Amino acid sequence: MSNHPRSRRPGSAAPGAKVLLTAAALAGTLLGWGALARKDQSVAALASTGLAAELPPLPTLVAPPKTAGLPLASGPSIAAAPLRRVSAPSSSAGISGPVTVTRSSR
Amino acid sequence: MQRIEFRAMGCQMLAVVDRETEPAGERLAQVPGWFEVWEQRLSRFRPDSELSRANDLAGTPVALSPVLWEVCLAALDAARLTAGLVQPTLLSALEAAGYDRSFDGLPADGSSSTALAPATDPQAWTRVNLVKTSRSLIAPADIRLDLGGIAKGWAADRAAQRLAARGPALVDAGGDVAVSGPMAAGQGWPIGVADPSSESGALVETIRLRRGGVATSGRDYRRWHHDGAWQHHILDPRTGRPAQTDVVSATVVAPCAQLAESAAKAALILGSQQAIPWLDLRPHLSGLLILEDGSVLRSRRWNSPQRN
Repeated sequence: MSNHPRSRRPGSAAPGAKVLLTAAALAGTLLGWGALARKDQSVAALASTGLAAELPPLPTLVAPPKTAGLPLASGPSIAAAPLRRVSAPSSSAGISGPVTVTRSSR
Repeated sequence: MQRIEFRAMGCQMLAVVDRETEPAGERLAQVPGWFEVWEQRLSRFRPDSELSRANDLAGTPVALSPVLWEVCLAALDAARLTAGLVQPTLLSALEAAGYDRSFDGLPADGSSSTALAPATDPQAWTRVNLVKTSRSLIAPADIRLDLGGIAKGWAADRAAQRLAARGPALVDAGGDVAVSGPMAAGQGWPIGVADPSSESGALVETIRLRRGGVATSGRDYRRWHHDGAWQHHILDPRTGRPAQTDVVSATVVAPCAQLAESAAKAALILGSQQAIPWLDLRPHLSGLLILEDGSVLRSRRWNSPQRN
């Protein structure tokens, strides 16, 4: 008479267990998608009541703002350099009268 | 175009550079300093000037600075050009005529109490010697030098020359005007010729000066009352007195301002009858005279095309 323990062959478990696990995973996935769908419906419902304005904006791609015509921000103030006694009244091309006058010394 | 105005040598000064660059402006700002240095060398009104010290040492050889040397040379050149009509030896006569201080310092009524001096020696300038090897001046003890007019022309020429490195330049030293060359756009500098009879600054005409200098000598402004009569600062060396002439104002164009100043003074002293032929005989000069009756005479080359 032999007393060897009976070995259990792999895959010999009830085939129903594998099906059960697969069904459970599928059910979990479906439940998750269902929950997400309910959340989107709640955000849409809030937006329709105006409460969505309190929520942070959703990241999305938007067109850049139009800046043409807007006033420019003033830059930092620059201290004026000390006035020089040299002046630049006009370009030579725009001279209409004499640059100077010759007369007896004065 | 950049410009600077200031007072120096008893006159209103103007310097202009026809270029908008920063280096041109910086050089222009140095011009008053140049004039201050030159005035300290050349003024007869400053007791501590080099010229005043040289006059105090008349009769003995005096070593000169390069500036005083150059202006003394120019003054003797002017005397040669004008056969002694314009010479630097008239200081005593000027003081005797009442011009014994800066014109700004003369009494408000123009009066002066100094006694008139006897007539000067018209050949006095020939007794002034400049020794090149030692850059020294040897003048007789009875001669003191006055470089007033020639100094302003020389200063205008020198300042314009220095400014030219930064752009086309014009320097007006109290009416003696030097230009370094044409304006940036290529044309001559527009310079008005004042009408001496006008209180409102009217012009007789405006010339275009491409190079060289223009100067005006007149008896319309620097004058004063002395010994019962009006005096002016243009002395005739032949008499030692203010020139008796029908010319109120003489304007001359020349290759440089110092030459223009000397020639204008000579033309005024000569009077219109002699001045126009004198100018016409000298190809490098042209002149415009305004007479006592208001008429205007021009020498043959006054409208010379190369000037415009």
